[in-house]
Amino acid sequence: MRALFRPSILRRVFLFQALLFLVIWLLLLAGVSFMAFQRGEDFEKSTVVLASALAEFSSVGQVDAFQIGEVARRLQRINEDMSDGYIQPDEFAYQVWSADGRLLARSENAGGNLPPDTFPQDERLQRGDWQWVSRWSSDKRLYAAVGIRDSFFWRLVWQEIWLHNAIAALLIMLFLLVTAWLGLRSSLRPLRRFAQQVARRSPQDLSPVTVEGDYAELRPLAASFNDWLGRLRQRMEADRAFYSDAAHELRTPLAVLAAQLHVLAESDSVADRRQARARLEQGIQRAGGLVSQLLEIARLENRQDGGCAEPLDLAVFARERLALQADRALEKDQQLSLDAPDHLAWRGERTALASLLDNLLDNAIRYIPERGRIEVQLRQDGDAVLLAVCDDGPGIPPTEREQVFDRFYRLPDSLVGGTGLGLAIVRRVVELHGGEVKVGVGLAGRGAGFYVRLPATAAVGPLMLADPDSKPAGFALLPAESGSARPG
Amino acid sequence: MRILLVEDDLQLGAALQRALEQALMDAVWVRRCADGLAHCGNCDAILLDLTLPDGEGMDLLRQLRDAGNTVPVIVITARDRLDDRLRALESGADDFLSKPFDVEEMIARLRAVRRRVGGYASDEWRLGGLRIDTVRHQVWRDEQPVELSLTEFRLLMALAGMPKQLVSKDRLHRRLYGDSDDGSLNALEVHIHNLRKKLGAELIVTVRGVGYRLQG
Repeated sequence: MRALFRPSILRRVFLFQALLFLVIWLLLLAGVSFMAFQRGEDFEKSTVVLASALAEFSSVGQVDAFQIGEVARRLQRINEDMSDGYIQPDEFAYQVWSADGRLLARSENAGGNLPPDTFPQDERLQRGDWQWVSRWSSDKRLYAAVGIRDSFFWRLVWQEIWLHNAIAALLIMLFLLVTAWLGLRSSLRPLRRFAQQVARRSPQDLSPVTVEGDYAELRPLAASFNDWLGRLRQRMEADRAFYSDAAHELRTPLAVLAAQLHVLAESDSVADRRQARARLEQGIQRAGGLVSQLLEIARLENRQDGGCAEPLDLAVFARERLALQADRALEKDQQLSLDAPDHLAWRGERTALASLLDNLLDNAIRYIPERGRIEVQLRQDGDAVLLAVCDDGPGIPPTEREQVFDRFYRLPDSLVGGTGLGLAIVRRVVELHGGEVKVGVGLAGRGAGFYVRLPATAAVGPLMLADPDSKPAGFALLPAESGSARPG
Repeated sequence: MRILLVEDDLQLGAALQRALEQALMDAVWVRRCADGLAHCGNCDAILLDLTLPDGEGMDLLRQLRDAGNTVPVIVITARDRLDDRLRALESGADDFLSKPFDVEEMIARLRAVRRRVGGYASDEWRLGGLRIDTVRHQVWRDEQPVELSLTEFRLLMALAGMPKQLVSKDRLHRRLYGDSDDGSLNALEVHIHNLRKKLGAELIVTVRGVGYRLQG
């Protein structure tokens, strides 16, 4: 029973069709009924004729009850031949009166006497379920009243409406409905075939679906389905590439651990063991760092919407993150400074933004030598927030500036080990916030500078890819020579 | 045994270098293809990473083989697909280790390739009355243990690595002192003299002006 109420296109179309047919049928029925009642009036007229004829023929010659009865019987036969319906003997009654008010003859079922003066002006009378019509003969000798039982009339109308029209129409409609059902079923076959085609696929098969026959109605469905499949394919390829990259990148830290462990096991002297242990700890730290960065980028890559963008004070937030990294900078005797307004209201995702700041700062602290300088600038610029992290370290060669944001890309010749994921995370966070990040020269024409521009009202939205050709307005923090080589 | 390690990862390079030293091997560690090419002339085996900052290790290998250098090469790489391994072996690698690998295994394989080059049956090299334990750095002459200095042992290994073949003075010199100019050819002759004294004069044959040969 429940299956009957499950949504189905076939049932929908079919029910609509059935409803339409029902309406048409009812209209037809109304029309037929109207016509049938018209005919009912015709029939009344023929009753008048019957009464007239009874009066006229009865007044011919000698008037007696037998003759009148015979006339009535024959008239009834004529009437049977003329009309569509068959008048049952008990549905026909008559009374014949003489002009002086004597009842000359009557049928047995004629009921109460109906002398001429009982009839109103129009000579029609309803008595019980009998309809009476009366007529005088033309010589005024006789007066005849003919009664027809209503049941005959109703039977006639009923026959007219149902037997001759309604049932036939109903049968036609039913036939149409059945053929419509069959037609619909076969029309929907391409849809079923499409579904089967999709259902039969192996989970790995992401090739486009082809619609046999190229039905216009199926084309948008197939097109959007294939479009989605295409995006899924891209996504899966990207995922696969990521997993393979990640597994690949984990091999070296693991090899490091194996080698360091071996060295530790083979070390004899206390000093050697201490050094080997310290190195092993570094190795473990590195492997752990890589794993957490892999998780972080996987989390960011899989994000489709903004998640939980929340209002936050960017200036306060930046100060907090800087404070967390300050110790590491101090260890290397580096100067870390922040140039920011007291407050800067902004909307964004807290954890992602923390990743962004941490990775930029971590890179700067790691890659610049001791006693280096790191300056962080943060300011509002019209409808954007500009964040710059600049240092006076070795900088990034112009040829590498495009690639540094790629996953697992490391500067060749770098003496500092990194996962190659930090800047990829930075770029992804910026993308998620609909912003843009560029790398150029840093402080005093040297070093590296990372310039991030985030829309002030960054309603963290679905991935908005920055148009690489559009030069953002208000990129004032970016020095004019950024992106190009600078001598010295 | 002198090993050239071509590996760009700082931690891995340092750890492997240390592990090789612990296994009593001399390890020269470089991080780039170009440096690898420069140092490949005077080593007994090469450990070669395939992804290097200035090129593919595979190219280095091919260049090496094209130049006729037959030094054993063991490829160490994070790639471990069959076609990577096949490509490396077809390009002239002698062995293949995919990361992460066991360092013991790496050292064992290094010894194995070295053994094969010298034509020895085990890590205990036997040549006439001479027996060299290449793992523990011990030497016997007619089953009598002989004490050698590290330099003397290296020299012996260099000669024994190519038994009954002429080894040039230059090669021996580089083997002892690397590419630096420390130590003159005279010093080499002094070490040869000492070796002869300890192992018997007839063992090392001098080819005048050219080099030396280890007799079986």
